[in-house]
Amino acid sequence: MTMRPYSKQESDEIIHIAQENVEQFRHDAYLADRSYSRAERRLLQGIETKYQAAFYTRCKELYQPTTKSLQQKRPFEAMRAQMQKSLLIGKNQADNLTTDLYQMRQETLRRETVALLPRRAQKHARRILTLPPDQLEQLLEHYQQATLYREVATSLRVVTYDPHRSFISRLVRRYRIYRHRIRTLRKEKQRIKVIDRLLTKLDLETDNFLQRILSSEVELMEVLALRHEFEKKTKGQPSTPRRTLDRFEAMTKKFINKQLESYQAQCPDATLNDIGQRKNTLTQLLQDIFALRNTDRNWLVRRISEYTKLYDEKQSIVTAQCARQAYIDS
Amino acid sequence: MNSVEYRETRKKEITSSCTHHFAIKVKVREVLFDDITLSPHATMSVFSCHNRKVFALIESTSTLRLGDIERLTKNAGFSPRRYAAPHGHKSYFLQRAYNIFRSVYPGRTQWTHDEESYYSLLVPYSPALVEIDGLYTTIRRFNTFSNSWQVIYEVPQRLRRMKV
Repeated sequence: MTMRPYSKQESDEIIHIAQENVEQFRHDAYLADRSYSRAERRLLQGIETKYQAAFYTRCKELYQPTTKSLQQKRPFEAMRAQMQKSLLIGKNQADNLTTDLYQMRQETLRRETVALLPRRAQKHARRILTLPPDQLEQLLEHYQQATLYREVATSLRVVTYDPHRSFISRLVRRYRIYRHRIRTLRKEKQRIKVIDRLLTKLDLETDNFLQRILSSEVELMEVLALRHEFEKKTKGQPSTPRRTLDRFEAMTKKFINKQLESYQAQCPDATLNDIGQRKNTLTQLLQDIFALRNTDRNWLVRRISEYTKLYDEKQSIVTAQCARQAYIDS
Repeated sequence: MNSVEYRETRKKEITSSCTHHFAIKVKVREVLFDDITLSPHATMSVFSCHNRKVFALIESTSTLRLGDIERLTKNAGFSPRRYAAPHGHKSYFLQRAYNIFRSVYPGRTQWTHDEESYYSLLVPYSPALVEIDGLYTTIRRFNTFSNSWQVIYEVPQRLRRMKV
């Protein structure tokens, strides 16, 4: 199993971002690469790439926590007092002794940290470990982020822009990114065109009935439930058109009132004329839906679901385009 | 947009799609079946041309192979005669099939007739333009809701097994 300087959770999060918005991923990868400077890369260059992750893990798990705890215990007052008492030596001597002991401990720790690396890499690793703790921390952090983004980009075959690469490499990458953007846009444009055509076709098939239902903003399932109830009540009862209309009005009154209230809440400036028009539209729509046969109703529900699915797909494409564009502009 | 406008737009779209993807200039006379669903991701439009030929244009959001196209066309009730190669590249299927064969058997340079026909079916082919040879008994579409094939048109007896 290959060792990685990041957890699976971190990698999954980045993969998710890359799949959602590739431009955001590219932007984050650019920032990670930019912060991982050439000097830092040069420091880690001495260690072979396949041992870098092992060195990182060793530093994070062993070297840094131990160094931190040793730093916290400084200047070793208790140990110094104990030495003075047991070895009967002066303060200065005890100070020197504790410093020596501290340095020995540090050296042992460094040796333990680099022990797993091959002999050639150990020299470079030791040099890195002599860095001040905050610099070392920063170096490891930058290395981890850059590696994470690089490996995710490789696995998803996304081209990223690294500002510290050579001029030719940057030029090639910039061109590949440009081509990728153009290709994605073209694909999306074609898909939107197809979706538009299918939406028009669905609308034509239903004589603009779908458009009427969707523009009226009523919940179709609610209307169909009402229709079912209406059918149940009218079944087996003697009916004339006049009676049926009365029943229809009685059953839909509550629903229409609810819709009108919500309409008024949405448009507080609506006039009497607007409300009346809305009421007529709703009544006409409900009458059309109630008059449908069962087979037509099923057909309509299927068409509505297709229409909504296509419309949602188009919306998601447009949203993704906008999100990507925001990152490109930034 | 009304139905007449839609039909005209569709004809233009099919013509431009054929020209763009297959380098074939077709003059669409009539769209016989528009958007027959073949799978959750593929649709087929059957149209006739002025030179009395009937074609099926299969468009898909996922990548289909020649084998898939053949199977889907037959399932829909049409018998294919010829497959138009993308961008008018005459040896497209043969060359791609040979590449696939070489990737499977890097040491071999000769292939048998069976291998040729098998690896031809694995060649990516999407969108696809199929020249229709004749009709089977029914024309069917794939119902994505019930995941089954559904009859949309019963071919009259006199037209069955008739060459288009």
